Amino acid sequence: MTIFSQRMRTPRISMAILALVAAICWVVPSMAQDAEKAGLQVTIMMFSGRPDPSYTITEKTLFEKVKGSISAAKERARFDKKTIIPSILGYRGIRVENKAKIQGIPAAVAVYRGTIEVRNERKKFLIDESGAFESFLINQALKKGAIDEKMLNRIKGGR
Amino acid sequence: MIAKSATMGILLFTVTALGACCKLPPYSSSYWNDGGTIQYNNNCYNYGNNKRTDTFAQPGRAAGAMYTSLTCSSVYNAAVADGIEVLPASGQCPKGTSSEQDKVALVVAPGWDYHWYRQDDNGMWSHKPGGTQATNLDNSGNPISSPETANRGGYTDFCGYLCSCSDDDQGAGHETIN
Repeated sequence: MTIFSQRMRTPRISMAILALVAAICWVVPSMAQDAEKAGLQVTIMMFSGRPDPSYTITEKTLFEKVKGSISAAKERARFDKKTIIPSILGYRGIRVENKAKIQGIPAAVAVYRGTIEVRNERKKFLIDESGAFESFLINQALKKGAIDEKMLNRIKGGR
Repeated sequence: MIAKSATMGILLFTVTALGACCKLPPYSSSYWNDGGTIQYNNNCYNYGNNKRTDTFAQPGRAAGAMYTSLTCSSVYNAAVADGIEVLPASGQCPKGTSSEQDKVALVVAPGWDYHWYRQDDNGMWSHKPGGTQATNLDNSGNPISSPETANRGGYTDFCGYLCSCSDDDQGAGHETIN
């Protein structure tokens, strides 16, 4: 009786383990896909009262571009302010939030006029060589319809 | 029994009256500049009224009468619909023995955007440009003694002053905005 019960139990346990593994295999990649679908939230900070224009980066190629821009940037040795984003009226930079926790990209990044602010475990300031990262994010905003030509002119003019 | 009810009534009245009491807010930017939820989700209208909603409040939205154009008159009227009071002819906001409304100022970048300033308890002015940090400096980095003369960038139209029922606790203003 005991031997019979054990034989019956073993396949049940195996089935349960198989089901668990299958569930993990199905859930984990779908979670990763959801994270990528949620993407990077990009906000162009230019308004005070109205909500700022924003868009989402969901393309893998663009994730790589963001990763590359940040990893290639050299650290700015001296930066005496708490943040690169100025409290002024008019265009004041771009904020990128990685709430989806896409691997290799910091939790939050901001860029303004040649400096990138990275917020991870510790805050650091990097050099945005020739403003390339900021231009890339602005061009994406234009492509994705988050900003129009009038807004672009204001951004370029710093107004 | 009657005496107990009367005491409770007086207590309730006192609490209600104190709750509606308006106070001038001090300048204390650290509450707003958390680099997270409060900073990013509260704009100049929130800051001006010293009221945290986390909704990027819009003039008139709470009253179902949001502004329809980015002009002084449209945004001003929307704020009035929310209950922000028109500045009396005396130029001073309503003041009682233990209550004083706070002066706020509206400016507009015509067809583009609007912005609010608030007067702090030291008489100087401060503001919060959108989702960025609250500050008591203007675009030139100078303290703001008057929003009329401050460097406001493209916010060229000065629309006027209104009165808001604030609180001396940050984020706890009494106006109904959203």
